[in-house]
Amino acid sequence: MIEVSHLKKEFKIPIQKKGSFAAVRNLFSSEHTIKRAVDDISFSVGDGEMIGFIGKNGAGKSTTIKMLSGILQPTSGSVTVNGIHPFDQRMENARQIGVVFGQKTQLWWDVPLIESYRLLREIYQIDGAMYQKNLDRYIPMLGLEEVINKPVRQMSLGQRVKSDICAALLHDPKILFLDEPTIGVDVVSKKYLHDFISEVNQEKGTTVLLTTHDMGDIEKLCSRVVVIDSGHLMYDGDLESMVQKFGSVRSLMIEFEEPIADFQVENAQLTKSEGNRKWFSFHRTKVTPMELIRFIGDKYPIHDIEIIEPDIEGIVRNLYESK
Amino acid sequence: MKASNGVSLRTGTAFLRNEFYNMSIYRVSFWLNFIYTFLMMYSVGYVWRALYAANPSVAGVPLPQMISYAVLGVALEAILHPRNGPQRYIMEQVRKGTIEMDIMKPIDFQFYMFAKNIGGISVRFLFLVLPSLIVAFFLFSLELPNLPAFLGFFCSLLFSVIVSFFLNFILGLLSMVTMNIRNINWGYNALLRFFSGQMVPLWIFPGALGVISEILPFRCIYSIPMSIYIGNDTGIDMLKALGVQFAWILVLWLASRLLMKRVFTKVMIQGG
Repeated sequence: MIEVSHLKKEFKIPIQKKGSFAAVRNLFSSEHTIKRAVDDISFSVGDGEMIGFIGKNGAGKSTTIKMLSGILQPTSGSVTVNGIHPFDQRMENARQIGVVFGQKTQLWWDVPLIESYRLLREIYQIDGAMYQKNLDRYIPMLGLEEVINKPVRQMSLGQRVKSDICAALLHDPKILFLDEPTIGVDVVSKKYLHDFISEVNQEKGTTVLLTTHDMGDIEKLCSRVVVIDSGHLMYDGDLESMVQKFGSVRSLMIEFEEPIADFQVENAQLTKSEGNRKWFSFHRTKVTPMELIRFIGDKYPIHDIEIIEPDIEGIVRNLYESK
Repeated sequence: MKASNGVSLRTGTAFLRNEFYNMSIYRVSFWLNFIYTFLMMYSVGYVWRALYAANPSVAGVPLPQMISYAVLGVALEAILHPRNGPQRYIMEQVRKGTIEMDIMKPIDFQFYMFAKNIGGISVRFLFLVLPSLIVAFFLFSLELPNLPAFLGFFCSLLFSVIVSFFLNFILGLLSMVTMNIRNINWGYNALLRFFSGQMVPLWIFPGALGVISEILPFRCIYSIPMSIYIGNDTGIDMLKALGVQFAWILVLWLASRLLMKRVFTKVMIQGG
């Protein structure tokens, strides 16, 4: 469905001058540095797959999505989406994809939601029966009944993202790009979104490419992940083995009854100490949290504990360090 | 009518609906606009009357014709002012970083902006220009053109809307490159007012100024349709004037297509 091979994207960034009359000199300056946002990335996504596309901020995720959706031209390498070159065949590509940016809306700000949908129907030339069928199905699924006559500017973030996802699916796209769709969205809305996306994927076979910083999104939706960092591909494979391989370092926070001097524990490292609390990091293959708690509890009175699972950022960091 | 680039009459009418909603939301602004248009009509009428009282040959046409011209200039400004052009929307979208959501849609970007613009112009024409012209007609006893002049005016007004759109659209494309065109827009507006004949008829410009205004495309926007309306350009002159507008449409269409292609290929879209 998606084929990306040796994809590169470079940006020219003008050098900002400093000193007197800097603003004037900047006007006439053509000096620039080249930033390689995406550097030799290859991967492919099969029909109906849901893959998580992860990496730190500025890793090149959004740039890749922009090249897949045809608004940026690759510097070199090739991209095809369902056999179509997105930049050269922008219109054809646009009709077969749906795009949701969590922080940006494609809806018209001032008009009631239903009017935005009507306009999209004309722009995407959606068949009348299909449009009605999709609306009838998606609106209750996403709980949009109460906002359908509200303009976007009056909506909460969760409502807006749900409205945007519905908008992106009205024309039955073959591929759905979701760029940080759950950023800032509350737990209840998140659950709606997870259920909705998996249902659409199962029912219509929509291929989903999701970027996120939320481990929960990945765990709920994706069986396969692609990790990029500074424009390079770091990992491509199933989620399970990535967590096993690179997410094996967990943390244990212990709050003691009273302040205690730092001490060493076998198989775990003291990483932080703050008041009555201490943080230990340990490898899941070497020791279990229960063993640690028992060992430490025998020596000192424990008040409270917390086990901290590695987050995506942490896994990516481990991945990066392991290379 | 269906086309692969999303250009269709139905899409056009859908935008009209949308613009109607936009307008109905900013009601206060709408009524202020209405009052402004009306006060401006009153003032230009008053100024020309005073000028004619001092010197009856000041503008080279009889007073009733001159008043018709000036009042029409104010009315048309309500739809053709650059603040209603697509560059304002484009600039806003660029600033918010959502312009890519517009470019991503399966519709030719220029047609998209044109349909949106025509939607806005139609709504403004129906609810702002027409009512104020009707009131002005009775208040200032405006002249009505004869049938050929009226048909010519109608045709010329359509051309004027298109020329004005292209110029505004080019400014909008520039805002994608420079990120901010507020100053350019301001300068454009000043030039437009002066060299388009919107405030002062171009035929009273002396020598060099007259030549400059002939060369620039701005007169296609106000001077040509308004001169046809008051019967200054008739017969072969009217056809010539329409020809000038049409030639500019071709030139600006080509220029804007080329620029759009270049901007889309070269310009980096903010963020990432």
